[in-house]
Amino acid sequence: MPGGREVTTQDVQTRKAEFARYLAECQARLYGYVHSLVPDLNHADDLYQQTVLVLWGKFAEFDRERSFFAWACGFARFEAANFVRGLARQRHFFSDELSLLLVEAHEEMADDELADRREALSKCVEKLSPTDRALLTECYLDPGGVPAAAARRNRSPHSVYNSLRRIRQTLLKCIIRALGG
Amino acid sequence: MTDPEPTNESLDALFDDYLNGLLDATRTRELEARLLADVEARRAFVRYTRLHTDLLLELRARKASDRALELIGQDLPAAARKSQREVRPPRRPLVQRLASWFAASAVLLLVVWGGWRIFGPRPANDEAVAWLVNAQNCSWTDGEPPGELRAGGAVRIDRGLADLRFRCGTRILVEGPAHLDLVSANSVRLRQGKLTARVPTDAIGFEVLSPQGKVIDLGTEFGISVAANGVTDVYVFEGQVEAYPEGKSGKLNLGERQAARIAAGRVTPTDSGPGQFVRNIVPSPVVTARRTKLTFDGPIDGTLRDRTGTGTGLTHRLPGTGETLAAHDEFLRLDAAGGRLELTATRSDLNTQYRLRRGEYLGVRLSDLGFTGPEDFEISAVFPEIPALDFIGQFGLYAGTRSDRAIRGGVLKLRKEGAEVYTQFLVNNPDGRDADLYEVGLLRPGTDLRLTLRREAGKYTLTVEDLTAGGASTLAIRHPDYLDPEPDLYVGLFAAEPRSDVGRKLFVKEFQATVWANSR
Repeated sequence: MPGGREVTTQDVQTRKAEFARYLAECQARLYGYVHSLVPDLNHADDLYQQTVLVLWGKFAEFDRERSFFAWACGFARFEAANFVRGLARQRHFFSDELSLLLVEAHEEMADDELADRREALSKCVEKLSPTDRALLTECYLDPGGVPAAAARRNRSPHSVYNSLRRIRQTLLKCIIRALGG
Repeated sequence: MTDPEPTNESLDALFDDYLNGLLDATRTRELEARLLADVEARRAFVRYTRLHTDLLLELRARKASDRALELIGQDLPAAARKSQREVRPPRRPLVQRLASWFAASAVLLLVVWGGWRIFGPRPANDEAVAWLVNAQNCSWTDGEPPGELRAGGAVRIDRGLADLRFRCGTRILVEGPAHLDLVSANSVRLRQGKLTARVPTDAIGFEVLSPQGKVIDLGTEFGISVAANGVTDVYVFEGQVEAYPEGKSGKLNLGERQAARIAAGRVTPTDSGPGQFVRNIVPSPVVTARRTKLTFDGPIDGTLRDRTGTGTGLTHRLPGTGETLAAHDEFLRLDAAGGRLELTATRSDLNTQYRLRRGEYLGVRLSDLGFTGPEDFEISAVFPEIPALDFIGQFGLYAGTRSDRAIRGGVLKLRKEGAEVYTQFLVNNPDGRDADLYEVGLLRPGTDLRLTLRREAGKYTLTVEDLTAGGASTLAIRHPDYLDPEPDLYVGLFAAEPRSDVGRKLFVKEFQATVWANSR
């Protein structure tokens, strides 16, 4: 059992602390990047965790002069491609070229903007009708996702996807308004 | 902020379907090409996917807050709870405060959780030993799925799959109906049901107890099933396990692709294969709409032709109908300028299979839309300004394999108390004769109608929308089970005057057929 594997050397502890600091700085962004490559909600968590484990394994090779986020995205991209390949007949995956350009687009978003968007979203979700909020919650959090939410409402999955789209558009507009853009 | 307003409709639709997992290869390539070409599109894409991520975190945080608040509520004395309910306003800010606190911390929590799993301390007795990480079609015997699982806890499912991840790295996939007790961080007891366990090398020694014995892992993946009488079957996919009968002696070592039964104090090798065990949760299939839509605003080559030889867009007649109609069908006229198809009702009736060689039952074949039998589908058409047909004159939509195996519905002309009215109807035709006729509601000539014949979750319904007055009703009848095994169906529209040769015209706009196909 794992009890015997406890590694306690001072070096490793220091390195973990440093890794945790780097990770803390870019975790929201990194999670967002992973999620933009693998939008399925159930997969993104798995992939994120897998990526973090890989990053920790490779951390010794990380060049402190470089951007941690860009370095991490390199591995995330690789992990995501493998991950998608492993899924039975999963969706199609973006080319390397586009995945790289998307790293730039993610990187370009300032920390402030990320935080402002999160905050605005929270308020905008509050403004949704209870029906829309309930539908959104079911689609995002229930294991059965959209098909299950549709079945419970006696609707076609297609019509629920349409509702989801309308709600996301409403939220997007609400966020833009809140940010004064 | 540099947000492009969400105006580019099709780009938005691509983003959305991307997030929903609905893009096929062609549309993925299209999205990719547009993102590669345009930095603004990439910015918009990143913000849209960011919304998706943030929304997930926000909703998780809200759910966590709600649960926490429920717990807080339970600790309050009854009187305080009552007054809290009555005075609602103070509660909201608390919810919001907590929610935004959770929201702000959600990403952090997630990472702390991940990091803690990597670097964290070893479990004390009251700490979670495992987590539910995934589930599919799961029905939980106790109502709610467990989140964290502690030693002494249990997982009970009536059906479905539950994926548990143990702190030591072991993954267990439980298939319902099953009852599993968590004994400790490296030991579970399967009372009944099936599971597969994948044990990483550093968790060697993980054990699964059963009513008749136990299995100790030596670094492997194996499946174990326990019947109601406690008889236990083991199968090793990879690596090695030790199988023990109840009591101490009689251990058997099993290697790759070996199986054994533990029963009556003994372990006996068997020949059973891996077939009964589920090793992975495979994501539910994505349902995609495959649709054909006809707007009758221009000729379409290679389709059923109207009286002038113009292709109408409709491709197939219901087999057993229309055999003697001319190739340039005199009862059809495509009015491209008006965006409608003019259809003249002929003297025919599916009921009793009357004069069907001249019957107008025309539409499309569902297999052309990827239909293979089990898929749901829907057809719809708009009939503007419905004309006054003669007695029992009828028009509407059908689905079936031939003229004497179909379901059809629409409106049927009747004379009630002297007034010229239509009633809505849906009827089965299992053998050439109408059965299970259901009639409801009254409509007047001149009304605009949209009819939709739908098979949803395998059940047929007809929806009649009165576009003039704004009402709608949905009809259902006894299920046409004679259509269930069919791998292909013809669907479309019809117009018939069983008792008249007058040949009145009606118009059709926007014919649409959709098949909800699974992408795997």
